[in-house]
Amino acid sequence: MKERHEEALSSRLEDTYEQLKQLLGSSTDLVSKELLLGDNTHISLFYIDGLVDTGLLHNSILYSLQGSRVPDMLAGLSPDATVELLRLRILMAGDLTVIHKTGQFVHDLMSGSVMLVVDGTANALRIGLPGWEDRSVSEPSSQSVVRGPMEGFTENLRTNTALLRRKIKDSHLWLETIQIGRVTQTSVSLMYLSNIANDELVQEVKRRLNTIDTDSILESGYIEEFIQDTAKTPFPTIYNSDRPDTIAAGILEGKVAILIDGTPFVLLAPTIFVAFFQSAEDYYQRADISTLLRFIRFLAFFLTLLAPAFYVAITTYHQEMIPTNLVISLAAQRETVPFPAFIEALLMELTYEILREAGVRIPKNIGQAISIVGTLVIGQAAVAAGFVSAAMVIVVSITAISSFVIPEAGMSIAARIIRFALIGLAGFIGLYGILCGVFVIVLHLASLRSFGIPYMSPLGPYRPEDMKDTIFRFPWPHLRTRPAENLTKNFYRQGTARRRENK
Amino acid sequence: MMMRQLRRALCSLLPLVLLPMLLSGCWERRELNELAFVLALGIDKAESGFKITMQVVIPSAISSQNGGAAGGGVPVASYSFTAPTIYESLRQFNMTVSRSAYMGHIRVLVIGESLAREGVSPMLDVLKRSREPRMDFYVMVAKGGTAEEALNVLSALDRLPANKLYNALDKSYKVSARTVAVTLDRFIEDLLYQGKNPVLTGVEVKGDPDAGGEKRNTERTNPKTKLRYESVAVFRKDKMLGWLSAEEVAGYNYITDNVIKNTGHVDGDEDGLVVIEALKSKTRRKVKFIEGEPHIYLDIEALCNVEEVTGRDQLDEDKIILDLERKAEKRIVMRMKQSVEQINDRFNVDIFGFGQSIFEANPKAWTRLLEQSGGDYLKSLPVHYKATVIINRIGAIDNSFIDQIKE
Repeated sequence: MKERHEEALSSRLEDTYEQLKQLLGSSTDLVSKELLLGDNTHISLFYIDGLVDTGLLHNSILYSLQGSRVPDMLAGLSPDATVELLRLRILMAGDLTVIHKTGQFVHDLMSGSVMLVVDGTANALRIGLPGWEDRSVSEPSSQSVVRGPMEGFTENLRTNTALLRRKIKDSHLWLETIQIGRVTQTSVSLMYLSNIANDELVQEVKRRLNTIDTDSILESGYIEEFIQDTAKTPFPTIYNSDRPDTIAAGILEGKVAILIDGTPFVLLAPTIFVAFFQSAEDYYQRADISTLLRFIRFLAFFLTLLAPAFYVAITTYHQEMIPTNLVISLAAQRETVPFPAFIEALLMELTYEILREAGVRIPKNIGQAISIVGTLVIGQAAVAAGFVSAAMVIVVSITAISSFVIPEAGMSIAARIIRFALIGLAGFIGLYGILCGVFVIVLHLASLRSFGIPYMSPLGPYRPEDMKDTIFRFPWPHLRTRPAENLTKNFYRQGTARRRENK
Repeated sequence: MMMRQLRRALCSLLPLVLLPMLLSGCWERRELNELAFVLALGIDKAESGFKITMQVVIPSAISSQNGGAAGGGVPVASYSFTAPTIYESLRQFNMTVSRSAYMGHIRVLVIGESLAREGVSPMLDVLKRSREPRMDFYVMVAKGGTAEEALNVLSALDRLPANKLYNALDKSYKVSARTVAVTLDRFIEDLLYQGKNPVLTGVEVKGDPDAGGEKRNTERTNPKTKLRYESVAVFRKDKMLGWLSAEEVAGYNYITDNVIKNTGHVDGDEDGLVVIEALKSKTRRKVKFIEGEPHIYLDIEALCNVEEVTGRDQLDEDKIILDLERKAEKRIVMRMKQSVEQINDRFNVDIFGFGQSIFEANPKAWTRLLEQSGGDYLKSLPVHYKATVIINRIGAIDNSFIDQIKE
């Protein structure tokens, strides 16, 4: 496959036709238009219908090619000179390049360019006229905020880079694009601030991207799994978001954004554990409420992780830990339950996961059915029938609700997976088992790295200067430095003018 | 190369080391609906050994799902067994009941009076030795009856009699200073301390003990059979000696700094009474040695409110308030003094822990005191009392409106 990229274009128009026919088969969306300019200048336009802006093609390219003065200008010129003249003087188009290679030719053709081939030369003109149906910029769906920008990334790479450029108007915001995927030829762009991001980090990201050898990249999840430090973890080690403001903030902290054509989800590397508990809104609201909300998110994370396991452990092993009145009430609820608490918890958690999955997959217009079946049948009827205890339903509901508090889905997914293991441990040896499980989780978290940066930083390697924006969120004037763990080239993000004034 | 292979082989074998953990199975796993929660334990004297009464909650009877408070039968069941040991009675319990008795949630331990008078220490060991019971439940003596009777009485407000006993003692001790709330832990501590003897609150069944166990008892506005806290039992080590009067209990609580709130009245103007409630009371105890002899100094500071006036006292005058404060101080001192004197007189037992204080202040002096007087040091021990009362608030009105009532 690689060799084909090196093959030069043919200088004969018929051969080019033949080559294209070989490469593309008889794809019906390949449009070729032959033109005769003057007496003997045969040119052909090739494009893929649907990928180019045909209105512009007609009004600008064809219009300028078929102007009345064109034949005179082209008279007597060699085919190479014709191409030069077309490029420099005749065509009314902005994005024009000359290409020689077949591989490049086909790639550009497939990316929404109009290819202009002149008979007699191996140089083809590429006219960038992409124009296809796109979703417009709309509200991001995965991480919504009350206060903050309401625009989200789209599937179009160019729109996405533009959204970031509009937020960071700095010459140091560099954009590099490579094609990944032997078949899909997906454009993958890196965006970073060249004067802030650590050079080695940028090199490492590029190195990892370049080692990817696969035939398709359809979503950023592919890239994430290829370049993450280890796959042996339920925790996400690369951040993703469809919010331009979140990604821009990451870039400003010295991280590298990886934009993939065809998906609104942009990757951000490196990332740390606490980043998954930070919402974009934290930085737009007042600092005090942001800090409180972060505490609540951590609490919710622990609830998601531990609530069912804890319930199983104390009701089957540590009854003396529960206040007397509560234990009697719990015992009363469990009177008719035919299963051990462990099985009960497992059943209810599984039921919830099934309900949740059904809720996601079900077509929107019959989504009502899920909530009716879920709440009425599982919730009420099961309790009324005495199959499950009301307390267990409460615990499972709290767990479910808590899992939605974590702003980034990847982290709540991790908690959902680990939860089952912890329930098992709790049913097996009680709180002792939970303790062992939590030990293993903490050890595992401490061993993780994201692009060389300790995952638990700034808690793991303790960095007091970074605590200002991890669990707490200090007011903006106090957030003078970028996170130290990113090893940025430019540590201070705020001037010292105010301090001098005070002196 | 070999090393690496070896290491890899070892690492892959490591998980096997964890497998034996599974051999224990779910050891000690007990589902809530396999347990019988013993909420109250009663111990009486029997002809041979002890008669042990266990009050067990019936969860389905208090379940909100199955009819709730209105429906169902009695919320608890009582089981009595005569056995030489408590542990034996637990075994007998299992022959009667389908669930295993769980002692982790005992709220009260009731001791029959006749057993208390004989000595309670033989049955305390198992409660301390077993890892199930927590040591924070209250201990009490069934006054003039048996623990079995006391544990049979149902009450309307608290569905679980054990809860009623626990909460009522907790409240009465915090609000009135007429009872002492002694947990098992403290009871055993008091038994072991030198120069200190324990006390326990008495609980008395008012009315017919047999009728108290019927559900009908809770269906009357004025139940025929009631449980009531009555007086406090004095022990010499583990043997009960007798009962204190209400006044003596108040004095005892002041001396041992156990008053959280207490109400008393002093004489006001003419025949009226002024009720004063102590809101914050702090007793400092000091031991001083004067000419080698130990003296106990008790210093009480009490912050009080005026709660009720039946006479014509002019409470808007500072002088009257100061006067009331002096009267209240005198009353507190009198309470303590009477308490000490009467208890010394009747029982000659150190329930106040004076001996313990002397021991803590000067162990040698304590040994000397014991040598000089044997256990009989109390009557000659000088105790000095001082009380400071500050009246903080006099309520929403100052002078009583009695004067303004026109004939």
